[in-house]
Formats: sequence, structure tokens, C-alpha cells
Amino acid sequence: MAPVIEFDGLEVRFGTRSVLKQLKGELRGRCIGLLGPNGSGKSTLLNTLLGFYPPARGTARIFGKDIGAYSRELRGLIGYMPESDAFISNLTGVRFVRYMAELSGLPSNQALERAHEALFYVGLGEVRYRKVGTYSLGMKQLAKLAQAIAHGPKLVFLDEPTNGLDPPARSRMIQLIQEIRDAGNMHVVISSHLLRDIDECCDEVIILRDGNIAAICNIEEERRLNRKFLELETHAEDGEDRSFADAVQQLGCECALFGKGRMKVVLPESIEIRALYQIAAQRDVQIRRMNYRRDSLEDIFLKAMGEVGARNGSL
Amino acid sequence: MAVYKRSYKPYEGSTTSDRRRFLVLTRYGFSGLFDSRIFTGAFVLSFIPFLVAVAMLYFAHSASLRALLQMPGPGPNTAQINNYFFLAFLGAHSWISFLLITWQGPQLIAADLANNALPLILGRPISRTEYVLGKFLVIATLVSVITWIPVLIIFFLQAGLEGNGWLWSHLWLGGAILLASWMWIAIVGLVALAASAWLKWRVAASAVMLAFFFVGPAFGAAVNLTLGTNWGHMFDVLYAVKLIWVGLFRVPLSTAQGLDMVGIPLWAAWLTVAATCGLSLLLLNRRLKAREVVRG
Repeated sequence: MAPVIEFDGLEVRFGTRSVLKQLKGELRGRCIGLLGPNGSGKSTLLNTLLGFYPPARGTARIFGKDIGAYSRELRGLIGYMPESDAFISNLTGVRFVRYMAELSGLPSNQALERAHEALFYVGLGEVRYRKVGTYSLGMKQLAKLAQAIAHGPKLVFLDEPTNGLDPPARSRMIQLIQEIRDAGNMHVVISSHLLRDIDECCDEVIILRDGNIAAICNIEEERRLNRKFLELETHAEDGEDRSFADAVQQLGCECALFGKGRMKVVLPESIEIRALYQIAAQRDVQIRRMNYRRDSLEDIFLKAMGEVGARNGSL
Repeated sequence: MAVYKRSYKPYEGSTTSDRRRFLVLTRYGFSGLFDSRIFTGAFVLSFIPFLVAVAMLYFAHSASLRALLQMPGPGPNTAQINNYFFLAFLGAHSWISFLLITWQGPQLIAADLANNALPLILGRPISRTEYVLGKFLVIATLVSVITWIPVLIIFFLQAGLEGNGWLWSHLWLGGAILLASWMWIAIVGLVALAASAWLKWRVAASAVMLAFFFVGPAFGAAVNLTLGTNWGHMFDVLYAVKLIWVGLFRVPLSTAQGLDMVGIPLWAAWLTVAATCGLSLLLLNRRLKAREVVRG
């Protein structure tokens, strides 16, 4: 698959402060997660891709087109749902979405039709003739999503789409994003600091920290490659858990102790779990809990944060 | 009622011309203004001077009507349909347009800024220049309909009724009407947009606009009084506009002196107008950004 977004030494400065630092990489996913702690540069990156901030150095390409040279053309292909409140309060829902669709280039009649469709799609069909200013927070988020997709963009930027939503509204928003992703008509970039949102929607993730790319990874591939490991919780006399871990390692397993009897064990295919029980019995160690696990997005995120921290000498 | 299936379809239809897309902003701007019935009523009432002027014109040219009303006149030209008449008529319509724009103009941008809709608009294939142009056209069209269009209609009516080459000998007057009106449109439009861009609250923006036009003269008068000069008039945009209009409509110097319209040279009046427009554009440029940059 051709890259959706390419970074070519992209750097953005606000005065003397470097907000995005020499970003390099490619994103090819259908649904791309933009992760990072608050202030890591996620929203700045989206705004730069939209042409709101000029790069100080380097550039980026969307669908192979330079964001500087083809800014106007690209904005026609992109739908944008900002993080903060963004609406025109004295317009009705349908008029608001129609207005935005017309600004994206749809003829008036088609824009009206698409506005109705988009509002029904996001679940605001029944309130589409109400003024947007009277909508609840969740409804405003959905209205923002409707205006972002009404003109049929090829790429949609969702900046913190679940911000301020209650659990049912959040589920509805996540379900909508998954539906948009699965329909396969457009690529989605979700910026969020909530790992769960990204985990549930995205197949690729870019992790930012302090304006640097901490990691770019294909979540699906990462999970496939991740070896399954066992998470054990043991109870033993002093020092026995250490000898248990040594014995497990001698058996040919990778083992890591985390204190208080907790350990992670990577079991080669040739070794069965029964062997662990036998060793435990020999050393009078109780195995109180045993779970199969794979690295979660949280693990990937924390690993990336740790790596960048170590690289910067801040951790 | 139409039933819409809850599924997402990509859009594969045609798109509108890229160059004319900013007119969408103008169209929605107009519909926003005329959503208010009071504004629509006031707009309709603003044509009363036009009707009065048409009646005056007819009266001036109709000897039979004057005879019927037993108001004998020396001739068809005695009602003084001349440069003074057009200047007064344009002045009256300009004031009406000023009041209408002060009332509703500031909502054009303020409504977009109030709830942060600017990133949504500028995130589409619309540049900041096109955004300002689209909004400015709302004011320009509205003020045109109230100012130079009715005045030119009267001008051509007079030319038709007068005949005998009146149009050719007074063609300069048509040019003066157009130039004076567009200068007024530029000032009122840009100041309204600048006030609208800096104050999200419409009422406050209207107040600032009024203050700009009426505090300036007071400040200018204070400067004149304190320093014993006339250059304080440069702070008075309305004075500068009047001065330029007096020149454009070829009002004789003696009359202008009687109206205290010789305080500053004409170039200084043009400079005041240019500075007002330039300052407004500068303010718009500083304010109308999709995202604020916090420098550090």
C-alpha cells in the first residue's frame, strides 16, 4: 500500500521553540493513531498537515503530494474534526454541515443531501433542524464528525474525538470510527492521548514525545510478532522464587522477575506448562496465578516512551 | 419525509469551481443577515429616500404636475438636480448604510469566531484572503444596493428626462458617484470586519465601530484645539471622507469653505482613508488565523 503520510525531516517552530523536530517516517495504515502525552505535538502535527502552520524545515507529503505546494488541493481531500468546540451556534445542524460541505466544493443540492445523510449516519438525524448551539457536548462532537465526513474526504483527521464524552457516547463514537475504517473509503488519523481509543480503532500508530517520533508501528504486525508470554504470580519462602526463576531459565525459558513473586516467562514451543509446575513442586513454590499475555498497546507505548527518554537522557 | 439509510457512502459527484468557492461565504453571510426580520424591515425602509428622490425628479420635470398642484415653476430645471443634489442624496444613503452595517455587519466574522469555527472553514480549500473577500462582498453588495445603485438610477433617470446631451456633459458626476461610494464601501466594510474579528461579541463590535467613527472626530478636535492646528482632522475619518466627496463632486471652494471643508489638504484626506483601510487589513491579518501560535 502506498504511504498515506510521509514525513521528510519535518520541523515546526513557534518562535525559538521547536515543537516538531525533524520528523521522518511513513504511515500506511487504514486507521492511524497519533499517540503521545499532552504537549507532545499531536495537534500541531495535524495542524501542520492541514497547512495551518508552515514547516520551518523539511516537509511532509499526503498521498504523495507535498503539503506546502498542494496545500489547497489536499485540504479538499481532508476532513477535519478539531479537538475543541468548533461550530456556528446560530445554524441548524443540517445547515451547518451543508455549509461546510459547500465550502469543500460540493454543489448546493448535493451538499444538502450529503448533510442529511451524514447527520443520520452519526445519529443526529432527529435533531438536524435544531440549532447547533443547543446541542449537548456529545451531540456537538457528532456534529463535528458529520461535517468532517459529509464531503466524502479521502483522509479524515480526528483530534481527540472522544474528548468529554460519557461512556455510551464514547462507545458510539468509537463504533462510528470503526465503521468508517471498515468501509474502506477513507483513511483515518486519530489523535488521542487515550490508549484505549487508539487500541480499539487503529491498525498503525505513531507515538510522539516532545516533538520527536518515539515509535511508528503497525499494531497488528507488532501483535503478531509479539511472542505470547506467561505472567506468573508465585508465593515462596525467601529466595525460593529466585531459585525457581533460575531453574525455569535453565529449562530454556526466558524469565524476568518483577519482585513480590511476579514474573514473566516466555515459553519455547518445545516446553509444556507441566514442566513449570514440576519445578515449582520441587522447590515448594506455590503458583497462585498464571495468565497468557501479549504486549498490549500500553506496553508498546511505555516502551517507546522509555526508549526516547533514555535517548534524550531524561529517564 | 425522506428515509436515509444509516451507512456512509463516498462522494463521487462533481465539485464547484475552485475560484468562485468563496462566494459560498458571501451567500451564507447574506442569509445570516436577513434571518433577522427587523434587519430586513430596516433594509426595505432604507429605500424611502430613493423613492423621495424619484418623486422630486418627476416633480422637477413635470410641468403638468406642478400646474395641477398649483405650484408654478420657472422651468423644468429649477428643482436643482445638480451635483449638490447627488451629493446630498449619496450622503443620506451612506448614513443609512452605515447604520445598517454597524448594526449587523460585525456578526459576519464574530459568529465564526465565537465558537471557534474558523479552523473548520480554513481547513477547507479556502484561503484567509478568500475568507475576508467572501465576507467583505456581503457588506460591499449590501452597501452598493443602498448607495451607488439607487444614486446611479436617479442619475440615469435625470439624464433620460433632461436629454440634450446632459449625460455626456455630466459623465464625471457618474464617475464621482461610483468612486465616492466605493471608497465608503471600503472604509465601512473593512472597519466592520476588523471590529468583528477582534470582538466575538457582536454588540461590543458594533460599539467599537461607532467609537471609531465618532471618537476620532472628538480626538481630532482636541488635537486642533490644543495645538492650534487643523491636522487633527486627520484622525477624523468622516471628515476626510466628506472632504474627498466635496472634491469629487466639484463643490466650489467658496461653498467648501462655508462648510469648513478646507481644514487639511486633499492628499491628507486620502492618506487618512488609506491608513484606515490599511490598519483594518492589518488587524484582520493578525486575527484571522486558523490557529493561534503561542511563541516561546
